[in-house]
Amino acid sequence: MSFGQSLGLVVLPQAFRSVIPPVGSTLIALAKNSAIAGAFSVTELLGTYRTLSELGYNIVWTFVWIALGYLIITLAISALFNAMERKWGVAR
Amino acid sequence: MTTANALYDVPGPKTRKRHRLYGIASTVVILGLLAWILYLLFDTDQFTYTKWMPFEYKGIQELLLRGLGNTLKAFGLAAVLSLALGTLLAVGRLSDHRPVRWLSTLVVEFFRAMPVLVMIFFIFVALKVQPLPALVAGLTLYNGSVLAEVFRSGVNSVERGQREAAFALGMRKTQVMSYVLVPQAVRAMLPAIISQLVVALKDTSLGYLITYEEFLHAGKLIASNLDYDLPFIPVVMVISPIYIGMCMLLSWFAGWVSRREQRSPKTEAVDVAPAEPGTLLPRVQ
Repeated sequence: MSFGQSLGLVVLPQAFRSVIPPVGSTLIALAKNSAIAGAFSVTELLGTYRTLSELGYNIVWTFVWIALGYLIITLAISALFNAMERKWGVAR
Repeated sequence: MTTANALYDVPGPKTRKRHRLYGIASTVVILGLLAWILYLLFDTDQFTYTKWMPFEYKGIQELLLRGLGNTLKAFGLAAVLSLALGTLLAVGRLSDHRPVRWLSTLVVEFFRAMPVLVMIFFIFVALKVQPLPALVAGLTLYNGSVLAEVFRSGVNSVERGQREAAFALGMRKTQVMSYVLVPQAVRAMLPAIISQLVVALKDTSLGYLITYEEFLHAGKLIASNLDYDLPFIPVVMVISPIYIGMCMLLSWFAGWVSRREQRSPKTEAVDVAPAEPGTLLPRVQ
């Protein structure tokens, strides 16, 4: 087999299977790190607390909803990667 | 045939020549990039005396040192407290009592799924806590939950026979845990624990966002000073090696501990994983 064949037909398919969990946790970390943008006046999920508290909403409840939003995002990613792991992951 | 060369043929003379060519070409490209960056730095006058002058002043050196001290204070508190919280939550997750197990699972999963900054902001803004306790509490909740998972998987990764043998000897569950499983688990998990502590150390820089006067905050104060012609890049050049150095020191410490453990006759039977240096890039998890 040529380099391309051994890479494409043998190595990468196996690597893909064992790489699912670490990629999943990296993506979850990436989603969580996007919160840092909120502190630099980018209006993302965390950043909305400023607007909402200026509008007079209760600050604690604002954070409860923000937390719920992040939970949905991270749990969705982790569910997706768990499904992929079950389908293609290396059986241990 | 070993696994290393099972997939590829051993390179012949032609391939070796080609590889050498690739090597030279990429070295040239990398050197070119470095030269370009250096040119940009000089071109934008980053090495002028005005921009580096602040580091000569005693007041500014003290400001930086105070910031460094505050960073280390927050890190020390967060490290100790998160190790304690991690132990507590891991014990809860390994408990035989179902409600305790569920509660600790809920806590661990919740705080692991939450960005650490959301917790810090919640404690700082909504609960109106001082910056240092807010930072330490946020870091503790997050890193404690991650460490709980590390401890739990460590205990579970100890060979099943060890637990069974200990129970067969008539030990109670607490004895099995404290004499047999935990000592082995901690040795196996040391690299993971240390890299989590490296994460905690780097995350103390988030304290800057809630006006905690730590190292990055001191750097920002100097960098935004018009008298020194806004020395942002010099400040980065001074501050980042110190952060990297602290992380490397921590990884080196982990390596030292694991080497010492390997030499210890008490643990001869246990396979001690070599400590890996935690990633040195700013990674906030």
